[in-house]
Amino acid sequence: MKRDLKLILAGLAVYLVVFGLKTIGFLGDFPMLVINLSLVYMILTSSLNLINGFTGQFSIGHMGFAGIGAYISGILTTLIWKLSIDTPMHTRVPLFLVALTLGGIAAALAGFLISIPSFRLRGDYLAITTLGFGEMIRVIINNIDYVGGPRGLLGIPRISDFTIIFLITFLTILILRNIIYSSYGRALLSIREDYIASALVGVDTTKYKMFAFTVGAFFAGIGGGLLCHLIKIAHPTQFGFMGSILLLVFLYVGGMGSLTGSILAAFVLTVLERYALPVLFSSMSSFTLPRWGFEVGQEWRMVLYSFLLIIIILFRPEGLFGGKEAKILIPEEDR
Amino acid sequence: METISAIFNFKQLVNGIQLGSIYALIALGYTMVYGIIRLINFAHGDFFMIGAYAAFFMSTYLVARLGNAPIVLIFIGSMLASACAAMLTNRLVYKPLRYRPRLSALIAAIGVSMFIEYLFSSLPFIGASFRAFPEIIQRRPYQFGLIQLNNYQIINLAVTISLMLFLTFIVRKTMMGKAMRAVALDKDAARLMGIDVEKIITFTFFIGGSFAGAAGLLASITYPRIFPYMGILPGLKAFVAAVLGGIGNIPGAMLGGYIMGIAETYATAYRSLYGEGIAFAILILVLLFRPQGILGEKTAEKV
Amino acid sequence: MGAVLTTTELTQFFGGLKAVINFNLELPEGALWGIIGPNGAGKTTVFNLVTGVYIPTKGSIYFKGEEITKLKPHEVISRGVARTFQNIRLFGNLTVLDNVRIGFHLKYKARYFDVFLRNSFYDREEKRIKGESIQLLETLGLVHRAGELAKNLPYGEQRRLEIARALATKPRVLLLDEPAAGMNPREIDALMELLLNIKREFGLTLLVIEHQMRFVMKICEWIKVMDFGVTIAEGTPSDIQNNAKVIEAYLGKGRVEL
Repeated sequence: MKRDLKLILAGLAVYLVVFGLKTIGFLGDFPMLVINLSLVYMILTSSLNLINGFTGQFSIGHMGFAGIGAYISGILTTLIWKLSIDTPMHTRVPLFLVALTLGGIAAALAGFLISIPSFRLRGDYLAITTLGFGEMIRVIINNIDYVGGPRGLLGIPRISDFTIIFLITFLTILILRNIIYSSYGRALLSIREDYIASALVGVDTTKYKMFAFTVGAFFAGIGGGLLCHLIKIAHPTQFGFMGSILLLVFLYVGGMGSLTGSILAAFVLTVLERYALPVLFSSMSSFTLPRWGFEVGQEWRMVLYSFLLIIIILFRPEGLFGGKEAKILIPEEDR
Repeated sequence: METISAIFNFKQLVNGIQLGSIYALIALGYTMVYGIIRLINFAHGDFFMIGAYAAFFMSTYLVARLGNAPIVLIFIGSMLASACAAMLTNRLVYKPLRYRPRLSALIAAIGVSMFIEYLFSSLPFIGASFRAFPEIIQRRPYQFGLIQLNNYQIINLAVTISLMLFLTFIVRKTMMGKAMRAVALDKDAARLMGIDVEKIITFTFFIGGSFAGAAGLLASITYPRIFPYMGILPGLKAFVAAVLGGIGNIPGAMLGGYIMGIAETYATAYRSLYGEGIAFAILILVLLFRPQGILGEKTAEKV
Repeated sequence: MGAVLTTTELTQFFGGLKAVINFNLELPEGALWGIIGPNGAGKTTVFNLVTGVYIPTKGSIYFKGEEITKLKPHEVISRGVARTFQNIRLFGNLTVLDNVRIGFHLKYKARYFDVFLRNSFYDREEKRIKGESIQLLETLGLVHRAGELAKNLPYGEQRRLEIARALATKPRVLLLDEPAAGMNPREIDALMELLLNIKREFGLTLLVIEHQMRFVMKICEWIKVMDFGVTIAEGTPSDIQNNAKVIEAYLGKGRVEL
């Protein structure tokens, strides 16, 4: 880990800059929310990249894992331990981390289960199954009254703060990067490239697919937990179809097989969405057609995202960084 | 006691067949497109929805103008609307991706589906909420002894069977049909034989889309609430039906559609939660134990 | 020296297609044998059966005395059988070095947490693998390409890379599927020399499918001839050259010079 000094220093530098700006008031509540959100999406997108981009699997229900993480950690902090922002830090933080970890583990279990069909299913069928799984999660959550059902789990304490989120995001990227630039990572890549040749070079493809799904799901669960403690609510619709498609857009814009891409796409798109879209929409509503009121809401956001997805696939399927990685992320010996 | 449960079950059976007709029509479109270009057209359920909305607007307009709604006209209208949507999607999105990795087309199809759904729900004259579909055909019950039917059920079945026979005729007895079968077997060989592959694909989307549109109209009449996301679940279930029957296999799609409709109706009658899950359960079972479906054939992979 | 790879009445039907019928093999350790036959004779299917890609309809396969008939591919490979492919199946978007390193994956000793945290044990393992991979690339004359993407290599080098990757799994038996395909006589000679060298250096047993007669006749100690799934002849190169059935299978009836 000593050789990653450069990376750790870079991370530390970013943290200090943002923290400093926050403390002096230059970055207010809303900008910090956007930054925190984009960090969480970095975790979610990178974890999806591990499964889709690096191992070449067709997992498109990824948000379901985040949902499991969100609800499990939310149940623990809100319903069972009844934490709040007033709980003293030495109690609050460790319990929060425990809750997150348990959420991650639960999600990992789901990932493990979902990987089982992946052995027999290829391509399209696997995609449908994972999508169906994501929807199943949503439906199940919707029907559990204990966690609020269709109203969602409300009143989650806002105990994700910048420090925790940044630290966890940094660790996630680091661990994912370590996995990818190792023998394990090469095994995953070989499955993506040619799963038959991979098996015939001695790679236990079953074991590695399971590994990818489980680890990817684990980090998604962590991301889900961080998310719901940031926006104070966990709602089933966030974690179904719509959420998973959103992640796919982030993934494709950033580029499959590139952690750098996932990081940048998560940041850029989140910032754009929170800052640019409202501006765009408010200027658009001045063009209201006389007879019908033009209401711009949630749906238009998704119209734009789905349009973006189509455009990316048609014209730049490798995304911004497809397959390429920023130098600072690649370990010394692999350059 | 026994006769009552028998009647109860028969009623469910009839409902199941009615639902199954709709699934069968949608499944036909899925299976045809998959058979010919190996793509799961996620947007297919949305062509179903487009057919319903086309029927809605036509009915509303015609009822306002003429006082009644000539059903044949509306039928043609909704089928045409869906067919056009299907061909447009193929031309703009799927065709450019024809020779790229399968995942690209699949993701693009998902994107198209979302795009259509969210666009419809954002448009001011459609909106995200439910709309009531006007009763353009009077609901009339019939009684045969202990058996109770209504004309909707008969119409659903009749239309579906007719369209299916029509399709079978095209596929078996016309040159177009023969060309379709050739392209489904080996696209490149077909092209080398002088078949205009793109034209055949367009035609497939035309037929598949129009069937989805017909299903949309039938569904709006039978379950008169329409909304932009109405295509998602039926689309998914029809896809499972197509897989169940053997994806790429036309009679299989019909068979799968009816099995799905009947299974879902019985499962819902037992407990409504099961009704939703049954499609997923069937999918998992089929893919794990007989991935080629009931009427499908196993294909080996070359190493 | 006993037989290292044995098949007994190995048979494979694909539905109605009889791909391989009663293929019997007793490959002695240290041998260099060949399988020849017209296209579609079932030669590659035999390789697929041995390496676990298919489970045979009938018959069994033994490797070093252990039955491997129903094992999965990676299990067969880990016991010491490696292969190359008729149509090259490299990991195109990975570097030459990575392609070879994957082969060493089998003997990797670091566990999950070692990888997650990159501790010193992990470092040592990675160093070892990199060292051995470079050595292997040197032996196959590819070390100058180590950082290039496999898909960008010229054809001949791609074939050598496939062999390097197979060797990385430290096999006892190497199955080569048409290693000389598309090569000119000079390249074939180089390949022959290479194979003899690695056979000697790594103590391998080789079984080669080939169409290039120059190669087969010169280098193989014993040849099996297949046609329509059936072994129609076997023997030394000179036996085979003069075997009427073999000539007929390849060229139809009539005289020919090989």
